[in-house]
Amino acid sequence: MAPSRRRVVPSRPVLRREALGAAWLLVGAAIGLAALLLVTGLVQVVAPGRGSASVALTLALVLLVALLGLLPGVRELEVTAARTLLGVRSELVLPEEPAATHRRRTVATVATHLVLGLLAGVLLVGVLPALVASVVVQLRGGPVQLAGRTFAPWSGPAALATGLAGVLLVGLAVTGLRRLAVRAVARLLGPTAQDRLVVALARLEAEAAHTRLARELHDGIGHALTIIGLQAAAGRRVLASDPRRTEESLGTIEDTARGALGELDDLLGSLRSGAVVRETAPGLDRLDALLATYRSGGMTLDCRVDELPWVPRLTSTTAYLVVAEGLTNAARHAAPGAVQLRVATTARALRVQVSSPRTPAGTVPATARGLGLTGVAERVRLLGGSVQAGPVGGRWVLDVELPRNGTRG
Amino acid sequence: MAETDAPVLRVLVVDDEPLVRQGLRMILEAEPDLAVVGEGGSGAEAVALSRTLEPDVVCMDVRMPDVDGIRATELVLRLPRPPKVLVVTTFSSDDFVLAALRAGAAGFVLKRATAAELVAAVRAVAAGASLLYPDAVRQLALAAHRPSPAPYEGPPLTPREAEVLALVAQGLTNAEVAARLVLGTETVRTHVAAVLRKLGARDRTQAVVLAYEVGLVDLGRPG
Repeated sequence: MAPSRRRVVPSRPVLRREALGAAWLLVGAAIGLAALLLVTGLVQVVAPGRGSASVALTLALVLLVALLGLLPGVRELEVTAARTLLGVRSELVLPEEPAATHRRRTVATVATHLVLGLLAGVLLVGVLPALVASVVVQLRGGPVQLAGRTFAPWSGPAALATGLAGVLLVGLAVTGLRRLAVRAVARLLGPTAQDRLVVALARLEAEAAHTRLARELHDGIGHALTIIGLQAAAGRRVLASDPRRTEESLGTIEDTARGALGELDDLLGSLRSGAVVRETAPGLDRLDALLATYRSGGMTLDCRVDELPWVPRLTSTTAYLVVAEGLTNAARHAAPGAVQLRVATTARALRVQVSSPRTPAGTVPATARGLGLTGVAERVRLLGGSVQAGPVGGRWVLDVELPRNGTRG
Repeated sequence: MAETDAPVLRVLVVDDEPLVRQGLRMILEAEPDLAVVGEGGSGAEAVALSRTLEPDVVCMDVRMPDVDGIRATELVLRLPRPPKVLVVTTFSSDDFVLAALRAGAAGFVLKRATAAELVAAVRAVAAGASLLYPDAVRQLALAAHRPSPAPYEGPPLTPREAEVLALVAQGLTNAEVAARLVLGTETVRTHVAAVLRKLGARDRTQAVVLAYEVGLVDLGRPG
């Protein structure tokens, strides 16, 4: 098969695919068996009573699997195994800063790996040899010694057929387990909703930066070069008949070129410093500017903003959006009076509250106040935060809590 | 037709940048047969000045504040004595240019064209004898990349008419088409008129743009 064709048709040869899948399952079986032995031994020692043993056993198993899933490097191993042994081709995520969702899903992956592995192990190491032995016995027609046991022949060709069918069924079952593993692992180790959001936002920002750059070049340099070209053509055209106008054209060309070079200088300077490219969604670092805008617009703002710890960029930009949305709504709908803003941090969460005096009941429909809020709320929930918006006493309160580590699940 | 015998062409220059207008005016006025009768800085001015000055050709910028070149082209062509519209654009890949051609502009020329090309474009549009920059028109239609051409639903073209249309799309004049197909110029003129009527097109440019859009002329073949 030509290399180029291999890329177009990504599926591997059937035998190789099944063998690698079985290898993945047997790795799970081995670790699962080790875990089982370890836990049973421990439980025998710690809680010898039979009644509590099964409960303790289950608990200890779950704990051990969770511990395995949380070990550093395990996700990397599972991703590598999924790629090489299971042949998963969809996007798998190795997060730089794993969020709670990622950790939970790694644990689920390990659990899936062990359970499916143990099932396959029973089939491949237990059931399959017994079936093979029975078939061999049928073919030889006499009793057989296998693994210290004696197998007596069954009677008739029906028994032979049953044995062969059993082998086939085991094969099919293992294939089924492999397929199940491929699907489960691809989903568990794939991008979470938050990962997709981060990627989508990054793509949007990159696109916006491109558009901005294109517009600057189009409006600035393109415009100047157009004038220069036209004026040069015009000046040359009238050089013999009207030298004074040619001189005017040359003056225009000189001025335009000088202006364009200045513009290009600015543009390149800002590109080099990253200002154009990084001029992206604002975060809490730009909160002061936002508040100043509303203050200069005549809003009385009562702010209490805690010293802010470092939070992930996405949390920061989302918090900024919440404040902006709250203030926009307050500016549009609130009754006269001070608008309160609180930004507080706890060990786990960032809390943003915007409250404004409510207009007399009925003058503004409740839904009108929350129209722009839907998108913001969606984003907050994707990050694992919570949103509450509604009247509290005489005020309208927007109360948002965002997990500080990016997501809490 | 010798140029000296031609009546003076009255040209209106429309661009939101005064320095571009001034440059165009200098280039066009250096020609004995061209006279710039007015300048407009917006699409709205283009319409108002076309109504009062009745120019033969309007050199029209596409991207302008208030009324853009596309809308201005539409409005100008509805006047009782409509001028020919020559779109003068900075970028050939501009979607606005194709939209303006669809709206009935007779042709387009780039602002970076040489003085001679600009002058030739004004004269060609006024005469309406051939398609300006056939390759560029094809590229524009290609760039619009409709997934599949909308089917042509008008009266069917005869094989001869289709042949003539394909050559017109390559920028050939009637005389050149006649020579290529070994026909009389008058016959070709009749065929072109029939094509324009069947497609509902104002001129050769619009016919070719329409033909690309409905797939009457193959976009994949160099024009």
